[in-house]
Amino acid sequence: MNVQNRIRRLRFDHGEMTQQALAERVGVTRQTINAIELGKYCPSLDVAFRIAAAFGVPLEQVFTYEPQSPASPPEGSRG
Amino acid sequence: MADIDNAPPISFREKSAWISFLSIFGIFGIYFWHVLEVEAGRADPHATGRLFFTLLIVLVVVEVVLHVLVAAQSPKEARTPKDERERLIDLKATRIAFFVLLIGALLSIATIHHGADRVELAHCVLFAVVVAELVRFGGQIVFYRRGA
Repeated sequence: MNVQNRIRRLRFDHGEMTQQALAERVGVTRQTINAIELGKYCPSLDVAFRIAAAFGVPLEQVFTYEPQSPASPPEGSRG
Repeated sequence: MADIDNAPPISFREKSAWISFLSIFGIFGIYFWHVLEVEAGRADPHATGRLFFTLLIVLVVVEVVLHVLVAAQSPKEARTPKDERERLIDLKATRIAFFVLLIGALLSIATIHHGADRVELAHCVLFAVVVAELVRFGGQIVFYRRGA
């Protein structure tokens, strides 16, 4: 997935906020937060903005787009 | 950094999909086993209709009881409406199941050309519906396991 996120880092920075607490603030299930955090699911813009709002930061501090060049290693091969 | 959240327990929706999958598999497994026995001449064909409606009631009761038990374990999660990822999973699984049902319906029609009577045709259509439902719930389980 080309969209990377810093949700885990932001949760840590916000007093070890749990996925459940974040899920309740955003209005999704804990499993959905988990899937987003692990890069298994790319959220809609609406949910992405709500996650950013839950942390009180701009969207680009939570999600970044990293286009993959043809020469880049395949997904999941980075440490 | 704490990583205690990275192994999510099975969600209510996934448990619900498992309940439906296993209930349908078990109940209709019994029914189609009986149908095969009738075809082989080892079971009473007149009992088929009664067995069908009995098993249908059993299916409803089993599903309701198991869903109530699972919902009692996590009532808050059970009351929460589906979020966008869960709706997407539903749609993806339903899309696959639709094609299975479509192929099943076409194959059922094809049985007429091989001498199938009305009852056999009805069983073929019912089998296609059951398989499509199993694919739908099975697909949901797979997508929940994969994350989306």
